[in-house]
Amino acid sequence: MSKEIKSHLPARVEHVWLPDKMPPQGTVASYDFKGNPEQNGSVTIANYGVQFVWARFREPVKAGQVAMMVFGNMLPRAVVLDGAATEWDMSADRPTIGDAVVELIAVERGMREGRIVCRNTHHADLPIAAGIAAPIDLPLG
Amino acid sequence: MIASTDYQTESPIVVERVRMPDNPKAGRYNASGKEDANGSVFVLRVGPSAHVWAVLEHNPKPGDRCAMIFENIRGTGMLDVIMSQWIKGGSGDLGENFNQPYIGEAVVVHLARYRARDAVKVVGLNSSTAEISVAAGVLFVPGSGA
Repeated sequence: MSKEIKSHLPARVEHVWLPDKMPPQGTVASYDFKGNPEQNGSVTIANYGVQFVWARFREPVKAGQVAMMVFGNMLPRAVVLDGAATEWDMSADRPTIGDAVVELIAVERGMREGRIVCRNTHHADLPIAAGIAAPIDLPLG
Repeated sequence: MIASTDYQTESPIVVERVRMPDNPKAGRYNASGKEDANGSVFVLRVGPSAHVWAVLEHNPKPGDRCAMIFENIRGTGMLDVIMSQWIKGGSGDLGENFNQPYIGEAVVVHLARYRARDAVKVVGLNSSTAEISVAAGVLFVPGSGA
């Protein structure tokens, strides 16, 4: 008698909480996943008119695995946001382009949050970061 | 020769379209671009940019692809787009009485974005096992022609 259980690799779901206050215009700052300033934190925010946010998954995404990053504490304005997911160079702490393809599956928005869904299509585990670009800090027109 | 009358097809894609006013103010519009307190198009202005959400009238079923075409977005420049689950509501502006994008169990897969002269198309897929409401969004600068 056998009990076969088929299971896919479960998706990785991570959340980051953006800081209440964005870094000053024209600067880049680093935060931990709770939004506290931290050197070499997993969240990098560049403020150049709009805010460009990278959030690194805290563990490598496994080969074939789907990964979701939820960005919380966005201002309650349902602005359209742009999204990305890319391989991450841990030694230089920046996005990189290598042989691996990180498939961008979805870019979604809630009233105070955004979500990036991606998949590691490579045959090896990869450090991956999800990114968003959105005017978080601009006045309403 | 093997002849067969079998013909397999996926469920048809749901395609809807809305027309943007020439220089939309923040507010709510119908698919023809007229101000309408119960319209399906929501406009938010942030600085010079317009953030527009157009709610699909027909909810995509599980596995359905859906597309929204925005007309009268001038030029051929590259634009930012999005497709998200949506909570339909009553009258009111974006975020009032529901009427807001939503992140839940369902993942709305982003399949494609197209640009034509004065038009943008956003295509998505309901990857969940439930029928859900969906809205497409686009960010552009009215009057810029790009």
